[in-house]
Amino acid sequence: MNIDFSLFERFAKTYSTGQIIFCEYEPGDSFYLIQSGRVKIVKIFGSIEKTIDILQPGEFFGEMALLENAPRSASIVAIEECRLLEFNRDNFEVLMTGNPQMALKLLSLFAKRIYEQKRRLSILTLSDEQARVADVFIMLSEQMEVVTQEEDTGKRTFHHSVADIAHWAGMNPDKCRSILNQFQERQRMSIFQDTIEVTNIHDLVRFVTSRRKSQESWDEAL
Amino acid sequence: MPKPVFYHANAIIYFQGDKAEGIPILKQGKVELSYEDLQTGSEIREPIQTGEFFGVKAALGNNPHDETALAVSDSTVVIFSVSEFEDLVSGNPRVLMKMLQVFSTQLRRIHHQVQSLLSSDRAGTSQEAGLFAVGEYYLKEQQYAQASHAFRGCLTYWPQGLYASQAAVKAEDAEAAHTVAAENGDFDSDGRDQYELMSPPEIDNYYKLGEYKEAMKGFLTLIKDDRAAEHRSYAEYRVGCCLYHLERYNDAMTQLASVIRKYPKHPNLGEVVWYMGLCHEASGDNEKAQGFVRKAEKIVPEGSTLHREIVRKLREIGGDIS
Repeated sequence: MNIDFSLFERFAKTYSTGQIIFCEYEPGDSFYLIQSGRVKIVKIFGSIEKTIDILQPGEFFGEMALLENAPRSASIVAIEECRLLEFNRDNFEVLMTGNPQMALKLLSLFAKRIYEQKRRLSILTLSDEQARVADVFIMLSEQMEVVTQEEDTGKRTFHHSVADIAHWAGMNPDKCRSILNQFQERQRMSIFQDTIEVTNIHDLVRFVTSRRKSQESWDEAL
Repeated sequence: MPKPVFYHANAIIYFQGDKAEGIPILKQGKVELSYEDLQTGSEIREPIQTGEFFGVKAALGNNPHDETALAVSDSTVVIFSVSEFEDLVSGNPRVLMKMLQVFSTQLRRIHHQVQSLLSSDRAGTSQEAGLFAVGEYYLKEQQYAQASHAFRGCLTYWPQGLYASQAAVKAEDAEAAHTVAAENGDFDSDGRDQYELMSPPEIDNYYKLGEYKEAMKGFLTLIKDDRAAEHRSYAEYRVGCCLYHLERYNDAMTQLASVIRKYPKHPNLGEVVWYMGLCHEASGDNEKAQGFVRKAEKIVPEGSTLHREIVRKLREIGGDIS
């Protein structure tokens, strides 16, 4: 992406290592483009801080603030000295019309986000709780790099905790844990300290597909 | 060059779930998109106007199509590649803005649907309580500048809130502690943490993300810092793993060998020996690789994921399982 940053000098802000750019739950009205340095996206689950992702120069964050004044869903922390361009809804249009490259980048970011949110919604619309938990693993496996082994046994290892799974399934962690235990008893997965190993992801796909179908036929009947 | 394609009436241009192959624009005829509403399951049909692009989201987001496109009557579409599409719209800010608006409306709508279904996720916590809890977390972790940011946030956004009085006290606590820490030399003159010590799980996050250079830097800092003495043996082992992933096999072997000598009872001894085996395998010494992998097999508890992986590797490199 070739952006003439000199035009945006007045929007630039610098942050030092460890500094918070914004905090989860804070209301937000600005979004950011990283000019230099890297930031991490973190969320606090109980007593653990979890790094969700690391963003590089040229990437955006906080773009949901453009759409509505929703609270921030995660915190952003500078992991090295960073230079960021800060924008808000007022200067957004000027910025985008003056810089099509940036607008295109945001357009594909929105396209990705819409897809992710739709996928999330498709999990949450499952009324069967077991299917919902299973579908979380399917979604996470879709985001993994494709396994190109000749014979795919369907085994997948997830570096996620029960709390993560509960979060995606929109379920309280205790309920989620008991469902995961049921899966474990039936050898569909093994739960370790910080990983969960699914025995055969294709089994879960078949399971969710059949539950989704029977749910649809019920929905029609009702 | 964008290429025109003709479709007979009732032909499918693409199915839901298809990988996007370029971005079509309707030149002439009638095209309809159809998809199921995720919440109600009912089918929604949407006609495409002449001169309108469709299937843009899938192509730009590099995702499968989430709708099916059908030629209702004989139709001609012109298919643009992503870069041809980008060239075209970058010269046309009005179209670009329009598309951003359409996408952001969709995103907003779906985001609302998701939030409304997430009853047990955040509904129980108010925004103020959430931010306050973040402050408490950082205060406990002695990350005072971060704690102060969160508590000050509570005061700015909810000056009359439930947590305001507590937040005011805690913000001052955090700032006082920050100053003391700075005077004790924990921070450099910028007021920035000189050694922002990350915990091993935090560094392992980089490792899991495949950021081995970053992870190695973190573990090396832990090794040097006296405050992290308890993590030293773990950090030394992890440096070996990072070196392996960075394909510096000789350095990795030197590092891992020193870990074995220094800590014969290392809690991760099995893993250390396993990585030794991997290094030998990667540098082409199959015989030594077998030796180490076989040793690792005896140390790592049976039934664990790693154990299964080791057994698999033994079969692969031709070692016997005793």
